[in-house]
Amino acid sequence: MTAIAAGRARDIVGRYGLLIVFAGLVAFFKALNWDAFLTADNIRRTILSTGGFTPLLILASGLTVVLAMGDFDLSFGSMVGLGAGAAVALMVNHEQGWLVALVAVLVMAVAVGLVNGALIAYLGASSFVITLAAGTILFGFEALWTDNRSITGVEEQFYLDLGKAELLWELRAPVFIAVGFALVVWLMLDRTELGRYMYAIGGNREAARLAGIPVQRIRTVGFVIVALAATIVAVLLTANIGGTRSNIGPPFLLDAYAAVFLGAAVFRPGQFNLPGTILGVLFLRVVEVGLLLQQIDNSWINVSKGAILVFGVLLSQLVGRKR
Amino acid sequence: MSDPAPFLETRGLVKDYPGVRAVDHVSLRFNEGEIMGLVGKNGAGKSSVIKILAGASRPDEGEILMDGAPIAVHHPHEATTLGMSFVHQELSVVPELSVAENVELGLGYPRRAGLFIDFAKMHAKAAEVLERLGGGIDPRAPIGSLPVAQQRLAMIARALVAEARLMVLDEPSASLTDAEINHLFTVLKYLAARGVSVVYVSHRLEEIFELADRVTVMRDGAVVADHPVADVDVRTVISEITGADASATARERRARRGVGEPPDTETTLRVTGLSVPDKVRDVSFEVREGEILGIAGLVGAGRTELVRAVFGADRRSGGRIEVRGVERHITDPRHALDAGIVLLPEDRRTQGLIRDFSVRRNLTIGTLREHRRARSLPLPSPALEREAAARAIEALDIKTASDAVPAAWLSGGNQQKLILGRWLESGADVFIFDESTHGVDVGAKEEVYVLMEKLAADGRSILFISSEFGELVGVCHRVIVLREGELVGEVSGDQITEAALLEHCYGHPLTTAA
Repeated sequence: MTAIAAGRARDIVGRYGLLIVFAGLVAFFKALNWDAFLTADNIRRTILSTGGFTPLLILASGLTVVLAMGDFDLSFGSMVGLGAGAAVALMVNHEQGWLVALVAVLVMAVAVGLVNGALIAYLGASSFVITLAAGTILFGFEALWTDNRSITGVEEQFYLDLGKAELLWELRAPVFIAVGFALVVWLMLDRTELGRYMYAIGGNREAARLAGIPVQRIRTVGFVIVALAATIVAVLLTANIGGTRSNIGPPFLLDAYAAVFLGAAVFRPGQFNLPGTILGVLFLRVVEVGLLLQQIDNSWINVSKGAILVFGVLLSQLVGRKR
Repeated sequence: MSDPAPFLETRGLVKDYPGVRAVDHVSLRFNEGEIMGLVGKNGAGKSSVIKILAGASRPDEGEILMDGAPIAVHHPHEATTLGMSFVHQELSVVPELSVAENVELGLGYPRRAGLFIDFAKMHAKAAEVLERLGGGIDPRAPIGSLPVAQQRLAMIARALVAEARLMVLDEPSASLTDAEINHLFTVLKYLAARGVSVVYVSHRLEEIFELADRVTVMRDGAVVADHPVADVDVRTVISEITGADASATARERRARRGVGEPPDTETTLRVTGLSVPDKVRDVSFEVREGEILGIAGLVGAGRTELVRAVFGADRRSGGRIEVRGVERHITDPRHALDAGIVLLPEDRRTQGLIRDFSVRRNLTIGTLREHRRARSLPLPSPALEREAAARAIEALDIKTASDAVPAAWLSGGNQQKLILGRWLESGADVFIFDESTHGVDVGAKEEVYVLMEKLAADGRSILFISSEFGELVGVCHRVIVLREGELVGEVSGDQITEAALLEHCYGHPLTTAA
């Protein structure tokens, strides 16, 4: 019976190991930097920053849905850029109101998601290749639209408020929108029939189909959710800085994957899950901010993020293997 | 068989999994030149013992001795080096590679200049070994293009190339024809004559009695009997397997359960002129309320293709499907389920089970909408799901530690019940069982038959595909026979005998009576 006790101990480590590592990491940075790191101000301004935390949480939440179904999406980084370019260009270059800009980019997101989904789920193409190609195409469209230049000068007040208005505890609107989005995805995945079907599709696509689940339709929904997430991020980022700049989206691609894979190593080992994703996002933010406070060069931060993705993938496989 | 010294033995092997002792102090002796038949229900511990020998899992206690000296097998590769070879039920071949490349895969291809594969030598070596096994296999052919029987022979050839001293075959006769099985037996006897120790794992006892020198019975993780085949009869072995006196032949079962003529009731499902490109040609049949209709045929006759097309899982090129007199346009499994048709797929692991899902979630995935918190909200209620799972587990007597463990942990028979349990409360009219008793032990098979009979007594219609014709004789009111995609015969009531079914399958009367 000691084997069973040992198994249970291993199970607990598998489930909550990353949480312990995370606590250790926070303690470590606090020790190094104890007057700056764990202050309310630092948490508000940097860890939960509008430019870092908000986009990462929204994108990682959307990505969790697609990965849970066994698909990939490599296009959302470019989707952020295209959404940002389109929204800002509409308001600044074409003098449209904020409502037109918002509706336009959201419709565009749905369209991109549907095209990705149609090619992948209905025509059976590889999600990896299709979304890689889609990313390049969207990137090209963004360049056409913005002429590859930064655009500034958004004056629509409501739009700017989306990115800047302080709501509660000196936290800005994007943080609440991001947390709200994550909660909605969480509830969808864990509490609704749709979410259950998504996990079933990820577990065994053919069995799901034979059980009467509309697999193609639901996989398509996944790609629409990711495109919508990317577009929401685009709006919040451009609202925050009042314009757009080149390469605004792609850097989030790797961060989002790192966060989701880290998350698959905790709470429900081996399974992509939203609570895990949230922890993964916080983990990455703490590393980034902790290293920044140490005045570490940005290149090294990139190196460490890549390493975290590798670590996350290996860890989630390791703890998920015992099933 | 003058009791030669065992070249390999296990002593007191124990392997625990959470909540189960899969292997319970197992001591086995493997003699050179002897064929051991290893039998037992699913979950009796056969596979667990084999996994330990193969280095795929480690025992918690006990030791393995080769030529009297303890050995440690930590990795499948070490088992190969030690002269042990395994042919698994699901063949592990690389379909695109040639037979020779598969045969010698991982054993070190012959090389030229130490770098390039010497194909001439490789093919010659494979050809030489294949020649000895017979069967006329071309070493250059892509292995995926060959029938399963030949692929299996190629994997046996692999053991010869590796100069294996122990060869373990797990359910090797599955999906083989009688002629192919005969050839397999000749090969295995040839191997044994050359001093190889053969372990033959099978649910088909007739085969064990025809082939093996010794029969070893496992039950609940332990070895419960081990005797020379000459000293026992089938009946004894069956009672050792089940732990109680049970079972009889198919005819006996038929008589005992009072399976009679097809009922004179309303037609539930009527299929007219159904075709599937290259697989099924113009097949028409119907099944009635409370009827168990068997579908017989040899491998490749189109049975699975037929029912998958009816279920909308595969595309059909023509045909009309009516349920209770109303035409249904079925092009997707969803449409079939809406029409009240349920399929229990042939391969439960790849097509039925969601392995990482808990038992409960596997049970409720098909009828999730019935377990909502509120009628109009698509939110599953954990409480209702738990109740539904509990009802299914109770009704089907599914053996599981709880409804929260992953479905992958259950034995084959219980996994099969799980998939049936998914549809038990769906209110479906037509249940299609595609090889649902395949690879399942004797006791669990009987349970499946009884479940079919219960469903039929409840007014449902059953379609039952089985490659074991004895089963069809034992449970069906009527059997239709397919050959090369066409419906070639139908027998009902007491006319259903194995001989009658085989006659239709082969297309000519058999010379010997059944």
